[in-house]
Amino acid sequence: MVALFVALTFIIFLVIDFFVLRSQKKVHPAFMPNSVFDKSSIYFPGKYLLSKGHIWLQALKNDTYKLGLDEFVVRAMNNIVINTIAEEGTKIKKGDVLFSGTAGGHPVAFYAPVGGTVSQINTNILNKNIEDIYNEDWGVILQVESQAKIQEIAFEAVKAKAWMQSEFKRLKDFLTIQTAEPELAGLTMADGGNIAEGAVSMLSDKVVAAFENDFLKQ
Amino acid sequence: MKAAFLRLTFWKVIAVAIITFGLYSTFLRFTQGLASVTNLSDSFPWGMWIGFDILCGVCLAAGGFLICAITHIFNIEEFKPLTRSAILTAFLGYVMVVFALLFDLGRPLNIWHALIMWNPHSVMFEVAWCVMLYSSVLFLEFSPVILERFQLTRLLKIVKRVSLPIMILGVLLSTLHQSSLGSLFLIVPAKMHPLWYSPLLPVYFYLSAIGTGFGMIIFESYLSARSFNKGLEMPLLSRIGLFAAIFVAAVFVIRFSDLALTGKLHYLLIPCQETYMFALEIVIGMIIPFAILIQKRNRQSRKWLYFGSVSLIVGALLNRLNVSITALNGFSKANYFPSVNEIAITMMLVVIGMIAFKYAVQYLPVFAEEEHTEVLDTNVVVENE
Repeated sequence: MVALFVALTFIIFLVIDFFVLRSQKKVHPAFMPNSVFDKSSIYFPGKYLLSKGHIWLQALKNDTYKLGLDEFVVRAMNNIVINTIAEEGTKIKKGDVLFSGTAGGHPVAFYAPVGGTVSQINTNILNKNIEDIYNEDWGVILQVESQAKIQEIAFEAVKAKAWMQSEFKRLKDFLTIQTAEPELAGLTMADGGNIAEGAVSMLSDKVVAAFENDFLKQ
Repeated sequence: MKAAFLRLTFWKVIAVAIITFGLYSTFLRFTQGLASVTNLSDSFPWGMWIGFDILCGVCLAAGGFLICAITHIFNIEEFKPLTRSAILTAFLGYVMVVFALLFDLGRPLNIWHALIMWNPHSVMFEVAWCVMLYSSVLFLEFSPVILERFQLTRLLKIVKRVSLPIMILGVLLSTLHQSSLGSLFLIVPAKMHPLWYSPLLPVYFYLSAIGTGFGMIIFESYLSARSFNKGLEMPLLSRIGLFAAIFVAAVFVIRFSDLALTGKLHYLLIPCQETYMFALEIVIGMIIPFAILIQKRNRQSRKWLYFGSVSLIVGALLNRLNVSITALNGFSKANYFPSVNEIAITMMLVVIGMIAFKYAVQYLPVFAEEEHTEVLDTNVVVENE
């Protein structure tokens, strides 16, 4: 009975807290829609690097890097489906298209942050939503032309996270300018709050193209 | 304004009420003795303070050693954002355990005896030393946060230099301690209900603490998000949820294999309070969290991940209190239920722990993870918004 008493007390406190929050017109984090993100929830793994085109790089060996899309861009666009990936063995230059596909049905492309040879591609990401951003859903393994170039174009983890947070602010400004219907972009944007996940791809092809130009091309 | 008033006062009023009554009970406990404030007796000497404050408290503090093992021993650095808050939770948990012990010991002023009057054949001796050493280790693990706050860079560098051996020591001590709490009950095989007694109790305590520790990391992240308007690191928490599901499944398999191999499964068919409590513990603490957390879609859902963690915690509470109270109640015939004063003191300790956590987060860089440290190291100036 003691066990039951303690367990019920714990649950009752959680339930009371839920109603207290409700009386304050707040929502418990567990019941917030998944489709909201803010700068404090953006995560970037240590030891990874990040380019300004929102492509992460993980150093492997012998000048090879694993590349993928970062959390910011995946959550800003949401429902990103990759249809084509640069072919294995091809040489690409910085700024060439690395992956292309759709975001919420709008065409979008992602660009190589650095030149090199594509040594391996992850076909598992084709034609499905990107979900496991920093692990299973990587895009390509690239043998880079120059190790020194990596230092020029990529942030290390600590700085990357801060930079992504500044991108969050830039995204708010972008959405405010791009749309005449700001409610599409955010739930509480006016007071500096959250942006609805996938806000970019809720808009037109033109806005997605502008986002690609402003955020994905370096 | 009205909402702000409510937000500021509701839990504060509750907290003040609990602490006031708790202090009154504390006064009675230390002026009139255990008998005046507890329902403990010679036939039932360990009650809620041991069952909840110590067994549950230590189990729920397991997140600290888990996250240290993940980030510093297995070197999976991506979990570092969760490290500091998990260590803080564990540290405060252990401090509360020490305070709870002072209440429960018949002669609390003799608590230091374990330091010099060694009895290495006693499990309690191991427990006492593990609590003392691991609390110290947790303080050292958390100390960089304090040193950063007061910009004691020279000391910070020294602590950072020894941080790896400290973390390893912490994991070792916690492993010993979690399992030795299970070992405490090995001395009462004839007094415990067979559904809970097993020579594998230390293994169960250890493995279940790991599953619960993962649940606690998730739950604590939600609490922080709720109280400090902090985002949830969903990709990390989702993976933590998977680890929890794996450990819960392991404990389930070992436990039922043990029951089957020792011929105890028939006890599950006997309609009595112990059977119902055992079933409740298994369903809430193992089956439900496993069913929730094993599915990727649920782990990526804020709501289901939260329910999974709450279920893990409730299951842990049921398990530890079943082992320490339900399983022994039948033999002792004491029909123990804690007194109002026992409950008040326990709740007071929990509230004090939560207040301490709140102020630590408010005044120390707990959620700044390793950023500050790395900035100090590399002299990279990052301008946060």
